[in-house]
Amino acid sequence: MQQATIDLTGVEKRFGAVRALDGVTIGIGPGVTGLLGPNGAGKTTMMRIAATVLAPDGGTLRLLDRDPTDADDRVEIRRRLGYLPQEPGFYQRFTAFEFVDYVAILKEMSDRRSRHEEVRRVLEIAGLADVSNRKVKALSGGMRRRLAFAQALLRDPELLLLDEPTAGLDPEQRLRFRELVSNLPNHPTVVLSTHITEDITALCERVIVVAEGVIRFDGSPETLAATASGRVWLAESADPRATLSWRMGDGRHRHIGDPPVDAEMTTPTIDDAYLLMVGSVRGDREAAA
Amino acid sequence: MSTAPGRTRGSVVPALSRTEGWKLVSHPIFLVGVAMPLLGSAVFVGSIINGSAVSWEEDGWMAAVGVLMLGIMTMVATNNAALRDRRSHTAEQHASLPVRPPIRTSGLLAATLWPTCVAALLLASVVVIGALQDLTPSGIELIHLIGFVVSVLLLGAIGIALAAWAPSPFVAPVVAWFVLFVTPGETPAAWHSLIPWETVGETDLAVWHLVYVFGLTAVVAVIALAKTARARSLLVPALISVAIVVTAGVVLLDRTCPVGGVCLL
Repeated sequence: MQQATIDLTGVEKRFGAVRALDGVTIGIGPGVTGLLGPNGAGKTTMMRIAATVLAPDGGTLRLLDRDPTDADDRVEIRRRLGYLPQEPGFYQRFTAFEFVDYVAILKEMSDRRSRHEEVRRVLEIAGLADVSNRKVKALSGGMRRRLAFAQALLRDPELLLLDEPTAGLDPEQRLRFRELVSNLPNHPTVVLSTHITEDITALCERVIVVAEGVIRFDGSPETLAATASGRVWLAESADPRATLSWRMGDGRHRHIGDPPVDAEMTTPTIDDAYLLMVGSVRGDREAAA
Repeated sequence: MSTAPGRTRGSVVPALSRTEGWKLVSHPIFLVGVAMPLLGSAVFVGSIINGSAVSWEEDGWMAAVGVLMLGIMTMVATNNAALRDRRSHTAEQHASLPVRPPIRTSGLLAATLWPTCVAALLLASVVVIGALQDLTPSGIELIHLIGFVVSVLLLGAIGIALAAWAPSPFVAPVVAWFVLFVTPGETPAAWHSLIPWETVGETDLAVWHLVYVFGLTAVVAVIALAKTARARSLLVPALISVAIVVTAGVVLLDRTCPVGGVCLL
């Protein structure tokens, strides 16, 4: 059996009284895996633990078949991973090239010529070759996001952690991002944390839904969508029995929840399934309270 | 598995120091600092050319003091560079990278050689111009000039150590003010020889003073590294540098005290 790139067993993390991760056990291997969940679900905590910037309070963790608690192993893991944090920072006075070059040095690329070639390569992939000499402070929000993505691609990482990579991107940039991720060489393990379900549908072969520090679903996007089968219906007007409903562009209402007997059922999407899942978690919590 | 592009070859410190060094010498604060020895040197060169300059000691001090000002600006610039991650919120991103914080600090410490070289080049060019007009610095004057150049290195290291232990952008300017206005006036005369940017009167003492400033620079570098490096790896450099500072300091105090040893109390 192939070893998972990320292997979490009973991983826990607390921030004061808040339990961010509650005994998470999961293995993630090559391919694009989506991490879906509402704000505060524990996605970013999971990403930070996988990026070795945060240590778990309990459980065991193996990354790229190494133990991140060991100092030498941790350095080796860091050599082989790329990380785009949720809120990436930038050196405003550096040019785009200088910024990525600086990160490349911190990725132990000391040979100047090959490092510069690599920096040009990732800037080209991110579509920033034309603005490589422009100061970071002069780049647009979308360009900065792509710059952060470019630095994560340095040295073709085997494990690529992307925390909300498409936040703030316009539709064209988002499509371009999808193209970039789907064309990454060497089939790395990509973990994409997001709450944009379109990105999951478009890119991921596997989706993990996290809510309140617990894994609620682990499977393909199609299977996730199927969990809402028989619970999504269309109607001409609002239905108070629905858990959630909204008026669509054609004037009809889309409802999710427990349908009436005569409901006109429709094919559920990943959005419907996600909303039902997160809504039921919230409902359970409120009932318990 | 394919080979990752941009393979590692050699140490990261030289690569980091090149990038950081270039950023330091192109930093606006440093460029303001460069203007001061340039101005001082220009005045001195003017008096050399019109023949009114008598000696380095009497007429060249403005260039040397300008270099001290350059050192102070270097301190603020290195402090600024060392606090960059804090200011830019890149700490989390960089924490996921393999180069450890002490290596980054070493790279920045090595980068202070760049402003030091700028100071050395400025003073060297004035020395050459003076020599062409038969105004060569004496041995002790040359040691003093080297001392001013080494002070740039020391002040640069102080900026990095301050960022490590007191990570606030307000600390370095306060220390700069202290260096400029408080130290010479507030220190008892007997202790003046221990002020890194002071000059001492005799050639052998000037050499000891130079050794003292070098030692002090090494101590400050160790202090800067001590924040993140393993204590064991710093033990030997710390002991050697402290021994140099103590030995040179004792010699300086012993020779400059009016009554041997009394001023130590």
